[in-house]
Amino acid sequence: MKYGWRELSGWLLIGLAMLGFVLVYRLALGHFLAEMWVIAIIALVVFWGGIQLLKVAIAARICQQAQDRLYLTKTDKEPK
Amino acid sequence: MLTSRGCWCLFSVLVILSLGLLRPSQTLTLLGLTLLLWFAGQWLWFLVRLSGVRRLHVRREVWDDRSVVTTLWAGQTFEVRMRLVAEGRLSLPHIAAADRLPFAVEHIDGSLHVQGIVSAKEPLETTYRIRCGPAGLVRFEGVRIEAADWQGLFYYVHFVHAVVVLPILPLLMPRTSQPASLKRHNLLLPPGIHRFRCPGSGSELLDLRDYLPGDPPRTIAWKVSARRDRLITKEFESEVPVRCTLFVDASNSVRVPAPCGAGPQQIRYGKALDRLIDIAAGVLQANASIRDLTGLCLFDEYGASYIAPARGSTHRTECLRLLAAAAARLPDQPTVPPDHLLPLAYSFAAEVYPELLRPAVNSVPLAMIWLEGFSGYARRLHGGLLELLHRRKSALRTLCWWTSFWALVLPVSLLLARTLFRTRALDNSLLIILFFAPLAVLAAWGGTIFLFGVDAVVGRSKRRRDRWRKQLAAIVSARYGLAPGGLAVLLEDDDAFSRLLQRFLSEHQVPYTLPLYSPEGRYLFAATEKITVLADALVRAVGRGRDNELFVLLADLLELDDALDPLLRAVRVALGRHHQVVLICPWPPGLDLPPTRGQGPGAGDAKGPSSLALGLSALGPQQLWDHVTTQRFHRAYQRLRRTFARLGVAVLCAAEEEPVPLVLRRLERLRSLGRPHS
Amino acid sequence: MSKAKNRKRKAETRSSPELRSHPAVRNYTLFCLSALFLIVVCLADRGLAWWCLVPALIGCLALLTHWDYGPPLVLLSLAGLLGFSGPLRYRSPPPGGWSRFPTASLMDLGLCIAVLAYVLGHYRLLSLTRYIFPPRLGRPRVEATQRRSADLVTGRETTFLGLALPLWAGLAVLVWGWVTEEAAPRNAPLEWWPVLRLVWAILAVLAVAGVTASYLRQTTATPEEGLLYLQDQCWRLMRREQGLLNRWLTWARLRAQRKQRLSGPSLETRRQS
Repeated sequence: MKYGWRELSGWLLIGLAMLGFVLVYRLALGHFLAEMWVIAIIALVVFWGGIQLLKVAIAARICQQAQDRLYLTKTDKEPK
Repeated sequence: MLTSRGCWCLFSVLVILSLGLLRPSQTLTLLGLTLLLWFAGQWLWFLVRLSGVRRLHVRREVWDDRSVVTTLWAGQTFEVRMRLVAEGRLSLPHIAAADRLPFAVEHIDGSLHVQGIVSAKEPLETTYRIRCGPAGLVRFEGVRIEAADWQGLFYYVHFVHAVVVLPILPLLMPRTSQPASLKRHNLLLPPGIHRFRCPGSGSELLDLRDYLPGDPPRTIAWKVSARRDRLITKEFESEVPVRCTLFVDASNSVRVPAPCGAGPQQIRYGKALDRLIDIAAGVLQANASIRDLTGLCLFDEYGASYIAPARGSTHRTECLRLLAAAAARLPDQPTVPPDHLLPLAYSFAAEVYPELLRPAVNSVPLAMIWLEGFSGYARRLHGGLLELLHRRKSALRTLCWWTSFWALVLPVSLLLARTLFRTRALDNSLLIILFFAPLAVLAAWGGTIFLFGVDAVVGRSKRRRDRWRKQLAAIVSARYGLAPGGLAVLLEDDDAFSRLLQRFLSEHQVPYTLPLYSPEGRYLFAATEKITVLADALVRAVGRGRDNELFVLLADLLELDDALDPLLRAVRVALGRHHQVVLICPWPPGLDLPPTRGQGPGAGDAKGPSSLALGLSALGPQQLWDHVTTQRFHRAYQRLRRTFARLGVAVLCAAEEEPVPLVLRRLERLRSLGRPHS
Repeated sequence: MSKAKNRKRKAETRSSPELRSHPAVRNYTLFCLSALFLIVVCLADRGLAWWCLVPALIGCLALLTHWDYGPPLVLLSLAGLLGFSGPLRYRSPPPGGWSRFPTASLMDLGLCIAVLAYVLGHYRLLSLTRYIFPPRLGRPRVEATQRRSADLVTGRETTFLGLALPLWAGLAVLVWGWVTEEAAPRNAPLEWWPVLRLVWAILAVLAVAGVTASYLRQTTATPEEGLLYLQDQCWRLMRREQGLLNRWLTWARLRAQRKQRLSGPSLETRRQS
């Protein structure tokens, strides 16, 4: 759960962005073109932010695993 | 896949077809189409048959004069029979196979290459002879396969992995003379039994003493008792086997190549450990021939492994295998910059693991090479300006984007502010910003483009190094279980990458050289921790020992005077328990021998300081370096000898010219004389 | 490298006289010469006068010197002769499209077979006398092991070669017939329709070949290759984030190491030069 909050926030943002896209779709059906573009841009930014958060969380977990394997195991001694 | 020949052919065919279609000419079109169909057909057929190439198997056998062997001997000649076998019914393209010769052996005759078409019924075979080098391990990696069609238009390289690791045991020297055959006393003991001047159940009289109640009546010396008029008892010497324990240094300091000098002997004894192992094997053999029990303790900076003294061929083979495994280890040093190892490791990987360097599985993004660069934090600290520029190209790009962003945001903000507050200062600021912002953007982009251009022109070797590093980091990360995050770690962390690269090379028995000194001038392979390990091992051996033990320390203790205290204490303990200790110090190959007792350390330089300075000035830098190193080692040897002489421990120099029998004779003399019982 | 050394190296890479007199080499040379003769005959039939000798002369010269660029030059000279033998202006296809062209004559077929025979023969000859496996990077000198052994040439190989020639030419005629026979759809340019079909057919074949090669490669990949591929994909997606994190981690490790070194004398300070 060390990086869980970041990952969860990422998924939340992605969910929010999806809601935004649904809203954009409904606006598009109603021919609210001006409002649609604004919401679409906001949703895109939120989506991008969510993806970034997810990437950072996963990258952090991967890095942590690699560091643990590299330094916590006794790799500096040659097998005999 | 497509050779240059194939590229030219395809180009010509496409020219013909295009011309035929564009002009238009039916003959040309037909001609182009014929050639194109033939070319495509050949290509597809080659691709289909490649799957068979990847399923090839190698069977290898190593023969001596009589049969297949699984153990090799140093300096001996063996025959290798390699057979390439195909599976399936599909015929394969034309194949050239080259067996990869291990580094530890020398090719004598026969061909490593064989070519032809492999099928299930007709395998490709080749036979060649090799001569083994010094003790260690020999690792046959596999066979490099080159496949091509008969026209040479398509080409494919594959490596069939068939790893076989065989130990090369140190050669046991034939005995030229029979040692210890002199009858020093009126007694000739059976082999493996030695006199021990402690009261025991032997046959040689040691002493006479007054009778004590409980002494067996048969030990009473009746004649002496009659003369003295009281009961006198005879004491006899002990007759015990001598146990010899060899402590062999396998630390980093003996695994590095010689610090200076070059000669034919350096090829034979590339590192001090080879010499130590030859001596250890010689002592093992000599002891076995006189039925003495021999034990072995291999130690390094990290710990020691111990085999209790015993006799017999199984025990001897086990000791020799352990020695061979120790000899196969290469030096390791985590603080060495990985750039020293990159070319060697990459060329080896390209040879043996071509499938892991394919762009499909191990890519190097062009954007990263040309626009970003691998940062490599640890290396950046020591790099120059161009190196820094190469590493931090992404920072330059970020600077450009931020400059552009603020050059846009600041004027807009000031314009908005001006609509609210009309002040003179704001107007002036706006004017300045409007003047300087485009200039800053221009300067940032222009400067960045210029610096990128400079890096593109001068950074060719750096880009190649980056590519090698990324691909090798990916391979070692996957190999040593660090995936998926290991790749990014190894791109940043030089020490970890260097350590894993050394491990990779060491596992494959690829000899490599490391810098002996750090950029600050520190010797990197001193390995002082081994003194404590050796002292502990010696004390443990003394604890296990019985009466008459001989401890032979084959250890590099030169220039470790300040750290010798634990070892000296352990040696005192051993001597206090009536054991014998001998120290054999490996002498670096290529260095002049230390002066004998009559000569001082500076005996050769007795002409005076001025003539010495003149002589030194005539030397070249390499010779001067050799001279200084030699003098340093001579002084260190004398100091070591003096230190151990105070305890009564003999120090022998295992120099390259000094043959093993000579060392054995000295050991024999020490053993047969014995140490007076105190 | 000096010119003399270059010359010496080239001389070493050339075939030895023994190799030239080997039956396999001799047979392939004769085969190529026959193909060149057939080319001359076919070109002469088209009324090219003395110009019909140009490809044959280039081919003969390349055969004598075992030149790598012989076949491309012969092909390009043929393209030049056949493509530009008429007036140098754009000629549109005949009215009614490509299907109005007369069917391929025997001489056309002969030319196709002869050219293919020459190209095949010359390349196989080069594999015997120069190299079959291209020289490795950084090692311009061609070694004997890169050459195909002339002893490995069998009679079966020559027979198959002879059978393959009319097969490929016949296949080309069939494909060309298929391309030109179908009528163009409405609104499609009539004269370029066969060209478009041919280009699309070539692209489709290339795509199929690519997919087949990729599939075959993946089916024979080792677990290590698979792991490497997955690691590479992961790294490509998150290399910036991972790089940033690891940079900081390395910085922290080095700082801790430096502090530790400064806090107490290290044992590594022995043996200072």
